[in-house]
Amino acid sequence: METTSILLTPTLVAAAAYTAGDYVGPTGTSGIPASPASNVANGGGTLQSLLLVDTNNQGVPMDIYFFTDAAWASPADNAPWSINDASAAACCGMVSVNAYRPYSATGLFGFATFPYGAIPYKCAGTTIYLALVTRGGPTYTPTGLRVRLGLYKDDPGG
Amino acid sequence: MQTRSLWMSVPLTSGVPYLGGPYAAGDFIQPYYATPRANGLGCNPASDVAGGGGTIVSLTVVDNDNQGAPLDFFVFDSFNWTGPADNAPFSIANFSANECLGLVTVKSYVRHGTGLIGFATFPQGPIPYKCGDGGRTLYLGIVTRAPATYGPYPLDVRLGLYTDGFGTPLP
Repeated sequence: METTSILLTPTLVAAAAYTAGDYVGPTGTSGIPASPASNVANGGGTLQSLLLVDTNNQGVPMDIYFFTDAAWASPADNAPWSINDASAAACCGMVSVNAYRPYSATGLFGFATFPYGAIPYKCAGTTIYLALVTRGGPTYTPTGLRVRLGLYKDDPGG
Repeated sequence: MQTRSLWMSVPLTSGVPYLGGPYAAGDFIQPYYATPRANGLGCNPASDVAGGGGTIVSLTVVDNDNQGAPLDFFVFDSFNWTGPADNAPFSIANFSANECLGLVTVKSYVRHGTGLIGFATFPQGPIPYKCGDGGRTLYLGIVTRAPATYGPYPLDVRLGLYTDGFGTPLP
């Protein structure tokens, strides 16, 4: 086992006003890639923590879904969250950021809860994918959100 | 995996006359170091190897000054984050926020004779980390959530960790 901390810096497409239930994502349909989530192809691990850095000071509750395969298909950024059955089958878990703590007058930390416990996964490659779904009506700039993942990879690195 | 227990004191002065707080709710508590720095309380060694990782599973704080103030402990993996000055409101830049890994909170204390012991809750669960900078140190940003007047040596902190691997036994 190897503990890893990954900082994700997505660039949002719409970077505009979202409504509750909207997907918040970058270009493409695979969400936010988190790599390396495994040191070997088709390896596994466990998601243990997630921290959202909200530099836009929006403080809106957020759901974060995890997918094990790039083939899942997200909606467009700023569109209502809806995926097909095949994509849903690639989902391995979900966490929620329900509340925030300020780190400055203009920025917030959102510490995710894991209501269903830590999330085991097995990658199709060496990457897992995140989908953010807002539960409020925030306005984000293109680089307004940062995500830090804490996870345990099964196979120690070389 | 190896279990570790790290014990750190939080001096607020080098021993010269110290006026002692008072801290207001939301103020940052920066320990004194002979070489001044602004990145909180260093916790070392938090890893068996340089750049290694582990998990924080417990935190205990001894309040020698009987203040009983709730405390937040923000966990950072890099010395590059920059906190405010001691006794100033906690406010950090986005760059520093990106180095944060998690938060634990001491909400209440139990008495131990002349002082208080506070046991942290982990509302978001244990905190995995990988030491940044190719080092073996974690950094804690301590923020009081209530007014407190601390003397020169007010707090001691104990971290319970599980470090990756089975490296050379640590002190």
